[in-house]
Amino acid sequence: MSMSDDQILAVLRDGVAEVAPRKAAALDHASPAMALADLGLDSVSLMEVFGYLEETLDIYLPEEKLPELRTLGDVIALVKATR
Amino acid sequence: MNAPNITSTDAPVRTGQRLVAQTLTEALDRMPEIRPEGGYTFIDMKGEQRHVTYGEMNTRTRAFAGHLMDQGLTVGDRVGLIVVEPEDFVVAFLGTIRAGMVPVPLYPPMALGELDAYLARLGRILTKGEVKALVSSKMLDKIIWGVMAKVPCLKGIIAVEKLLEPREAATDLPIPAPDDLCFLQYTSGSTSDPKGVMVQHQHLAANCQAMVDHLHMDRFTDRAFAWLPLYHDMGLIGFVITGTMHGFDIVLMPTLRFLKRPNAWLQGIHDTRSTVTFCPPFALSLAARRAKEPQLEQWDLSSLRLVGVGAEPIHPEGVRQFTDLFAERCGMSRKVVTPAYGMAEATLAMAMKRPHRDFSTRVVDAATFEATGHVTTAEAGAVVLEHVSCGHPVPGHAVRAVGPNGEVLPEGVQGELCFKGPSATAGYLNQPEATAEAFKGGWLHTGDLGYVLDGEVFVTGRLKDLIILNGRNLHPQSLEWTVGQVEGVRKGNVICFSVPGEDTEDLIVALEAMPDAPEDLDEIVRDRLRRAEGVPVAEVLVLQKGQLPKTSSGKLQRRKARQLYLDGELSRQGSRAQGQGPGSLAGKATLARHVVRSTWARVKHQARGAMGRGAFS
Repeated sequence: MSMSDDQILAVLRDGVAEVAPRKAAALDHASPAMALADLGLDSVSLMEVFGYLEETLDIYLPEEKLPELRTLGDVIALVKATR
Repeated sequence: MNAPNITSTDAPVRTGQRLVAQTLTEALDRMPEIRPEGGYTFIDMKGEQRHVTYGEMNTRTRAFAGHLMDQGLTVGDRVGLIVVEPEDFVVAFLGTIRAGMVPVPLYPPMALGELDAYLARLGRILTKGEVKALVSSKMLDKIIWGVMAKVPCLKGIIAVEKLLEPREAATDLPIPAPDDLCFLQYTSGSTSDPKGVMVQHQHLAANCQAMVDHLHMDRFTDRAFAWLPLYHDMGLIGFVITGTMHGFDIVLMPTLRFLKRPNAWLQGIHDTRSTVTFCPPFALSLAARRAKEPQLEQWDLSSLRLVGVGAEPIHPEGVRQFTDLFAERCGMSRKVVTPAYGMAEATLAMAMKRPHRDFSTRVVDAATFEATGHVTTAEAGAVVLEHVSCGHPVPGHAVRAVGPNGEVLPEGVQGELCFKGPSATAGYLNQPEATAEAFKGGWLHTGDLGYVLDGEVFVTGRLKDLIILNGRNLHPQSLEWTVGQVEGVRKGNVICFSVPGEDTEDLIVALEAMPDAPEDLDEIVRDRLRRAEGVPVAEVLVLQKGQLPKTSSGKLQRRKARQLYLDGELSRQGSRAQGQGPGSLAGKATLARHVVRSTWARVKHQARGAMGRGAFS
């Protein structure tokens, strides 16, 4: 089953809400162009958001791909590529 | 007992089992016979377990050593290790030592790292450490390749996978002497001037034995579980090396797995019935926050004897929450949380809570302590500081506090903490001056502020203004320099400091802006620090000329700026970013709560819990 960008973005938002509730609002009207850095999460929290994505979508995000992620769009693309 | 106790020393009484050998090489040879079933359990990123017996490790490290020699490397050559998988790392680290070569464990590029800053730092370490070959995980090839051209002493990069291929075990391997260099431990210290701590076999033997004695480790009943990065002393020495030298079971999980799924830590302890684990303080509160009803229902944590905590200031409230939750719900003993004080220059451990003792803190009168450095009991209603006890020095070692002129201070008086004993290392590679300075008078000068009382060590702050963010030690000067390069910032008018954050410390940047500075100067500064230094900024205060505190001679006053900030008096004009300012604590509900909160804030600011410098990190 393939997911739309918006659906993946929604899971991402849920993940942020779970890990750092105060930062979730930043994603309300986010576009794929938004930089991960602008989420205002520290690297520990961001990693946990990836863990949330993995658990919820039953995927595995390979660690060697993570350093290349810059934007929400990059994350969406990686999720699609690993499904 | 402690009569004129100016120095806390423990008599070298052996309370634990003896190490099976005085070097890792000998231990690897002998352990298969002593613990035929024992060894290492590696949990991979997906949670699968693999057991490697001590016998297998003996054979595999001999094969690895053979591969290294096949590459033309010889005894004494320095070999950098950037290896991500714990299993690969352990074989590579121990195999390099078996070959008589000197491993230099290096941290891999952070998952979301700033590659430019990473490569620059890596290049400096490889150059200064005179590293001849770099062994790295294949997946890092593309990223790391670029350093080759910049590091003349580096002859090649070898994929660890290649060295792990089957090969007959090398025989006729060198036998190290106790005072041979075993490995180089790079501290997470300053970016511009990385220091490699020279750890000899005899230092490891001394510190491992001291930890085994202090913590009553038993090779037949203890199982130690860690997700700590193995290129850092806490995971490397506390688990891989001590386990290998002593023979208790070791369970290793990738750090990234813990970061992605914090519950995997305690789940793993439940699954493997582990008895010992260590972590930096943020992990305690993270674990407590993430454990939900299903986990709390299921987990049996009664096997745990020790949850060591160190590397960053320990927040007592975080310890209490962790203890309350898991003692009440999961049968964990209330004595397990074990504050630990250590640093790479001391090999690892300097002081730790003893297993049979309760976690304890000392509440002192804030005004007296801040003014005089003396510990006194607070009167009712006074503002207090709460200092976490890091327990007694490890057996056979001593800790004391000294004043500015090197005078030894009485109990309960704050000074620079100094450490002495057989675990004190040989200092920094190729840096005789820094070494002489750190080890002057035969005592390791830790750079931490603290005191000794009733034989217990309390760490209260840092002599220098090092900033610790997520286990990284950052020098404010280098951050300030970076910020000073930003257009619109008045050069030389930047102060960086840290304040207690939710889990780790928060970095605050206060700067004076030029009149024509761009409106989004705070964002530009934030961005620059992230890119150049790889550090997140909690808040940027954009001030006008003359608003930063300075001495009469015009020198910036970093500590004063921090205090003003904590008092809510460092004027702020720029937009506030995330993070809860101290001002927001006031007026929140009852007086009692206010006192607790303000105490907390001050405790976190003043009494930097257990560890000052990057110790155990």
